[in-house]
Amino acid sequence: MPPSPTSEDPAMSTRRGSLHSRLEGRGRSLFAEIAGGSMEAVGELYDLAADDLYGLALWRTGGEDDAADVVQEVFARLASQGTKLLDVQEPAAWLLSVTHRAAIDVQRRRTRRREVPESAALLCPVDAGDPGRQMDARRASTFVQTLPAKQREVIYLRHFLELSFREIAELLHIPTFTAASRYRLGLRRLRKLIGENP
Amino acid sequence: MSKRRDIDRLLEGLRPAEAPSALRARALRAAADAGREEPEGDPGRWERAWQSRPLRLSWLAAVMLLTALHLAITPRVQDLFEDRSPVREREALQASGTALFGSSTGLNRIALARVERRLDLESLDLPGTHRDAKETTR
Repeated sequence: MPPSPTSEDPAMSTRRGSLHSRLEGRGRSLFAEIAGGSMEAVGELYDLAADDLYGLALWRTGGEDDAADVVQEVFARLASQGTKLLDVQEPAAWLLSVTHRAAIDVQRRRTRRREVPESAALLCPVDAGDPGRQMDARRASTFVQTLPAKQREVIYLRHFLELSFREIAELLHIPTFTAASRYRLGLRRLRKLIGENP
Repeated sequence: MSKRRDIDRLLEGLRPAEAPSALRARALRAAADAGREEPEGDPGRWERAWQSRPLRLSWLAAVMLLTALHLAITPRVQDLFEDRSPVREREALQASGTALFGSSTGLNRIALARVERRLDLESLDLPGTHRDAKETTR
């Protein structure tokens, strides 16, 4: 169910199709083929889902290498499930949930090994053509990087993947109120940053 | 209001990042490797319980609580090894016996006085017993 536009939810028009809608109908059959051992199906699923999963991992971890590790881990976990994939009712939700958990695992591993965090990645790609847009993207990226990972994750799921707060809550195993609260706090902090750095 | 317009513009300008092109081959290779391995089996109830952090923490808390309670209610080690020679035992017994006897005679006296008060022996005029009763109360 796509979220309804609200005053807290700008820029609906710029969104691309959600992962849920892209996998609707095809997702379960792809999962069934992967359960049967088809690598072509894994490739097709990658083409449909990888960008969204990578984006989520990037916004959650804040680092490009970590995000790539997360996506790799998700597809490895997918292939190791075997016939259990036949029981998955919502492939998109399953993939996002595994991405969320894998991102947390990668961050924990980094903390446990006391590794230096990866340098802040550009969370939003810079358009090479328009210098004004370039500046906006860099500015946005800098602001978004300062948000806590949990708030960034919710903003990504809400803004780019068009999930409702209820769906986000189910995905992250948190109360719906907490999901909405993280989103609003994130936007409030962004507003404050914009106000301080006009 | 201008801040709200700013954030709208900021979010409108955002495009989600795309996965790097080299990642596709890497992810598919990892999937192929994982697919060749045995599918992940059900770890079982005990394995899941062991892997669950809340369960492990509650188990630890229960053990600590039981240990603390055990230490609190059992006699101290010093008491267990205290000197209990026969002479000391006898002395202690005599002291407690004297105290008990003293307290029991004291109680008897109080009880007798109460009975006398209740019966009012002085007012009773029983032939042949008046004097005796008076003498007894004295």
